[in-house]
Amino acid sequence: MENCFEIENLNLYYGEKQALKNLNLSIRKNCVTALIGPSGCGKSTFLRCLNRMNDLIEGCRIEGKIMIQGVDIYDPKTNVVDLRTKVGMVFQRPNPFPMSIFENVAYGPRCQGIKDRRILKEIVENSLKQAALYEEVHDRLHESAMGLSGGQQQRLCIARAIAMEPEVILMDEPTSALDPIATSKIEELIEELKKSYSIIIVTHSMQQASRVSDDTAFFLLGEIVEMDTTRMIFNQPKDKRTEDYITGRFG
Amino acid sequence: MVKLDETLSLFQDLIQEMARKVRSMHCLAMQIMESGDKEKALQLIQLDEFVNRYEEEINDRAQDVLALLSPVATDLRIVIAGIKTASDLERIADYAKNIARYVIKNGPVAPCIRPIAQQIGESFLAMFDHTIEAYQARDVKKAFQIPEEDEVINRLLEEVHAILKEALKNQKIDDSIIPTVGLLRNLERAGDHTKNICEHLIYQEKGQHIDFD
Repeated sequence: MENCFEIENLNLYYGEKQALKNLNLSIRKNCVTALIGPSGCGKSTFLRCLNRMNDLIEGCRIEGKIMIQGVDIYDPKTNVVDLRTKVGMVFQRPNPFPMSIFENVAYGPRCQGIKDRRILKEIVENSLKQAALYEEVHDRLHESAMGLSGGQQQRLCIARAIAMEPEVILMDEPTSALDPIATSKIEELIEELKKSYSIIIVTHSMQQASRVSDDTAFFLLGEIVEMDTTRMIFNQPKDKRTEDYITGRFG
Repeated sequence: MVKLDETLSLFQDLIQEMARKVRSMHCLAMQIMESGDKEKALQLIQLDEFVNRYEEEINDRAQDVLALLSPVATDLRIVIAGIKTASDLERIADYAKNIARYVIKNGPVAPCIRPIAQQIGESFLAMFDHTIEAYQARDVKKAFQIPEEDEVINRLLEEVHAILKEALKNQKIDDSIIPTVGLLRNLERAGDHTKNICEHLIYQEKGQHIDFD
């Protein structure tokens, strides 16, 4: 199976402190990859490396390669805006822009230079449909996105990412602020979205990782202790530390 | 100790408790094979009800663990292996009950095969004890060795066949003794189910499916 990311000897430092240590891994295309591990283990830091969200952090230094479609995203010639078009991101708390539902989704394509109202409408509708939100909001597209529920806002953020037609969607604990019903909708959506996109999700919920992902990487102290299919990780992990973590005996 | 450890430990204690009941049924079965005591045989049949209830209790506890504590990896296999082990223990208890029924209907085992019948019973009990010890200690190495003990039971059963054949040939006994072979076959089957418990233990600890048959 094709890979969407190839990561080679990745090291990341916040000043003197090394936060990621010599990571080497491949992330499969059109699969859901879950990143698990205790707080501070580096999983979100790693996720943010994948679309260069760490660039703006002062004192942050990165070594190694992260290849997407054969191109190193840390190559000085890489255009970060293009990269973030390819690699979308959904955050822990839904963060819709204070504008209408329509404008939230149309924002990215507009920035890309699409002005034609008909094309924008088509993109917005398709994105909302893919994010399983269209049915719920089609009659109030021009109302403020801030009036949506938390779960709807998160799906709107997913629609906003989809509107850019990315290759990969990064999700940093996308359901941690949502109730079980909204969580279940997002999880169903992830299952559906992986047909078209590769998804990398950071989660603290072991059940969520086991329910939604195909592959799982267990992070500890900035290292990947084990990465395998989710089936193997949750049935027969090779490393005792992985087993201790997934069974709640860590520490 | 985390709640899951505590719950799984109680779950395994219950399986061992069930195993002790099953063992006591087979001890009683050995006594009545020799004595033909119908009172005790009836008692044994009643004991089977208790064992059946243990199996139900173990299944209920397993359901609770799965629903409330979401076990994974080895923890999950402890529950799955536990359900299977309880089912095998229940079958092993049934074989003791079958012996009691036989004795009520046919009386004690014929004197000519009594010693070897006792030997079969003792071999089975030893194998059963080793299995429960291995389960308690989660000893995979022992779980691989114990099934060899079943060969002893099979060999003794073949000896019984030979003794009976010889006795019938020499007209020392009549063919009314033939059902005795069926009676002893209960112990042979109980041995097979004990081997299954060894398989479950290996699965629990290693996640490997082994077939000793």
